Amino acid sequence: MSGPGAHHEPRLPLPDLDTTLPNGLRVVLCSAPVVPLVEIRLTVPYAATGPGEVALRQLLAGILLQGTAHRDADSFDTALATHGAALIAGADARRFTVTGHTLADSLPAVLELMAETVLAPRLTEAVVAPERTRLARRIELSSHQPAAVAQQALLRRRYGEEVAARLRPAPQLAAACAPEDLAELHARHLGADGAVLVLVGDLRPEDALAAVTDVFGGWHPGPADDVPEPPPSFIGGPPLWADRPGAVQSMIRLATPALPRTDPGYPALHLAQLVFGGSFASRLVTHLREEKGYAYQLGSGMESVPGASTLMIEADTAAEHTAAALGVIRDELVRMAAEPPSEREVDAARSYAIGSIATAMSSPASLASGLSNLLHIGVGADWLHGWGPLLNGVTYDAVSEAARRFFRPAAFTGVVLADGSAVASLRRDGAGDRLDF
Amino acid sequence: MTRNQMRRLVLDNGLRVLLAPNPTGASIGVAVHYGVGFRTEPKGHTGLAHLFEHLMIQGGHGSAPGGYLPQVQRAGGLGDAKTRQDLTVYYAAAPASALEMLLALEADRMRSPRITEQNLRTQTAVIDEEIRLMVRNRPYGAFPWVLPRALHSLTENARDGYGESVDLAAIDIPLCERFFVDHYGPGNALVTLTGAFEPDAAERLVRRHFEPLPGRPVAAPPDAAEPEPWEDRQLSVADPHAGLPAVAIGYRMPDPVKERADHLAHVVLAALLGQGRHALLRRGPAAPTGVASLSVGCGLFGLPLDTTGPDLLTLFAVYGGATEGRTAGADDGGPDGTDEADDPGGVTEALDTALATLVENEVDAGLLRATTARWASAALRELGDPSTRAQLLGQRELLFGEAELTERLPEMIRTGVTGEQVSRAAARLRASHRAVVRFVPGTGAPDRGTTATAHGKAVAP
Repeated sequence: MSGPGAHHEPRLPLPDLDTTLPNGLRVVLCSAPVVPLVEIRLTVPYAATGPGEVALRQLLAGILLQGTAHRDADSFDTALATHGAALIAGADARRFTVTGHTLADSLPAVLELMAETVLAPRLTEAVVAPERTRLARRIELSSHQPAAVAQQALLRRRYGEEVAARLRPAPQLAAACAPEDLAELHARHLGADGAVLVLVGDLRPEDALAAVTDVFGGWHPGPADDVPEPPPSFIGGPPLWADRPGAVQSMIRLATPALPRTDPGYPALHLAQLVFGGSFASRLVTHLREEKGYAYQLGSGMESVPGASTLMIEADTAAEHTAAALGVIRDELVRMAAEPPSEREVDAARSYAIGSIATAMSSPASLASGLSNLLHIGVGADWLHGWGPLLNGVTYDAVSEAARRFFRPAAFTGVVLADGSAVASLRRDGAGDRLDF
Repeated sequence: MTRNQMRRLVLDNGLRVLLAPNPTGASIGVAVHYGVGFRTEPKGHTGLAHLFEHLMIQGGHGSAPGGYLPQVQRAGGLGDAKTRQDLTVYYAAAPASALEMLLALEADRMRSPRITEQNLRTQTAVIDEEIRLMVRNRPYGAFPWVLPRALHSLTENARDGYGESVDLAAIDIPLCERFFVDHYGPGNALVTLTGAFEPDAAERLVRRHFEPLPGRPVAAPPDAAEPEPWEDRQLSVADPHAGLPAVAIGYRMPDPVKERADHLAHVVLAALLGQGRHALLRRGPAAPTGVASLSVGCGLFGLPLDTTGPDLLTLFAVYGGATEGRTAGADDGGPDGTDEADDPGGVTEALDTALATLVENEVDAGLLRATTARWASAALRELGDPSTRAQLLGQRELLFGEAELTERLPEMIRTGVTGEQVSRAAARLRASHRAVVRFVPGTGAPDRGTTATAHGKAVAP
């Protein structure tokens, strides 16, 4: 049976225009004239990298927006700024992104500047050399951030050293990278085929499409098979201790493989995780934060990449509460099967899920990011539009089934980034890195 | 941009109301500002305003069990709260259909918040976790709080919002109840609505839910007039979590009301120095060498016109490790080290040079135009979110009686600040005393007490 009280909240708008240019660039346009700006999101996906090679792609991303064959970095950036535009380029193991916004009137001019550098970046030693240094510093800076350290440790725990290395930048590779290498990388990976450009804001779709076609229509397609592969699956196992001497707060990060967003079972799983830890009223937040006071920042969520999703649980807790907090998380996981989500819990999660996505995407900036991310992981532009009806069709039984199937403590693996004193009582046999959970 | 009509009301109980509809979209934003913050909280009870925010977010006695946030989320909304120097704001965004429910929840907790012993204990513990997360367990967690502490002389103006541990531990229910009576009356509050609503209907709903609340006198905020800094202040902070040395520099901002034009010129000056790749401290001869990251901003929270009290222009730079021979670890790290030997990246020198250049030669007109255009569109972008718009409109209304300032600010910055004003701002910074705080990595205990600085920003719940 379907949940009662189906909600009829306003749906998010469908894109006004969703088309693919002959060179393979998909263009998705949404008119949302809230403020006189246009949000810009360009995603160029590519296949997996070799160990550490993310650094090369990050180096290339750092060089984009530093000018073109005809303009140096300063004049390029000043030109952007004069239009009220700001753009940032980035890269991870799966995609290049160019993200930003511009004053609405300047959209054609800013698209032209953007195309100029994406199609033909300024690959000179004068640009590349300082960028190598900057990248090395950025990587070093993040190596001291506890959240980044925990994230790296979790990737190693989930996938092993070899796969994790493909997701992690190695600065020494970037240090040896010459402009010619970057030119080759640019030709191989930065093509139009499979790329997605999302524009949201104060725009007229036909005019915007004409402007995009004008400057990106001549972008070379690039190789057709350069697409990210789903990551390998991983198995549950005891959380590993990652040492951070002197940490006064421990970072608990747990993960289990879940269903990709395109799977018919995804909506039920999503509702189950909202009941577990994905909302303020959830069991975990109520128990760990509002009853015990063990955490300020905590919860569960779905992490999606092309072809796969992971169910994540995170909590940051004082060193002296680490063992107790892990115990609470475990108890709540066990309870998902023993006491499956009640109709009341499921209905609350459902109305939250349906309404909050429209609320969260009520600004053009968040709608643009949301659309761009959804398209990247392989769901259609109508997915947001259909999300409400999809959730309304989920039965209570389906949520119970997802609760039993995906929340078994043994199915989770993870890490605890902590000072040794915080995990002493959890270390198996009193030694080693494997923790009781 | 099309300027939306705003409507102001004052109810008999003193509650101020600001209706700022924007017909685009299907969401609404609600912000309720109370005119008390961590600068104006009672002496001897630091941290009370922020702790009270954690209690208030639970909701009022009339709301269903589970409290405020679960009900907002069930309606498809998102809500949160912040404690700032002079105000505390509770805000939410939700589908337009939830307007009356949100108003009812706000009126309910304005009438009688649910404050219990158990809740007080739990939220004190949650705040301890918040301090660990935001301050004690992260690199450079003492920034920016260390700057007002170094630069300002009155304790009210040197607080960080979290409060002293000893004060926090002493907060009890009667104190919270007195705080509520003194500072949370309708006469000290402002309700702001933005987004997709019809003003007449919204006004009726506001009156229905808030008019029955009895008015009461409002406790006057303390007089915390801060003199201009009369000497340079230097400090070293041991940071056990930092891998690289860093420097933070703070200047007093001009008064946001009496010196409005100068204040805005400082905003532009900060943007010229640190915003974007073309910024003066990022390129050319003035750029410091060996810097891994650098930011310049106005306002303790990175937002200008955020307080009526003394605010700061701040610079924060982390020195690059990888390719630099010298690090602060090689220095003596003494608390009085102020000469250039203590500044391996030359940040203070680069800043002084950039300021001196601006004093002598007006900034290039093209660079000024580009910098202010980018600043303005970033500020406009904030207003694309109904809840942020409600917060910013209400904030300027409560602090200055000028909600319109929030919508006019992008244009004021873009076209209203001249190169000559920027030069004057640079001259003023050159002539004024500043605080310079160095972060020395890898030393000291991660304890609030021994760092002599510490603490974090008051965000919640």
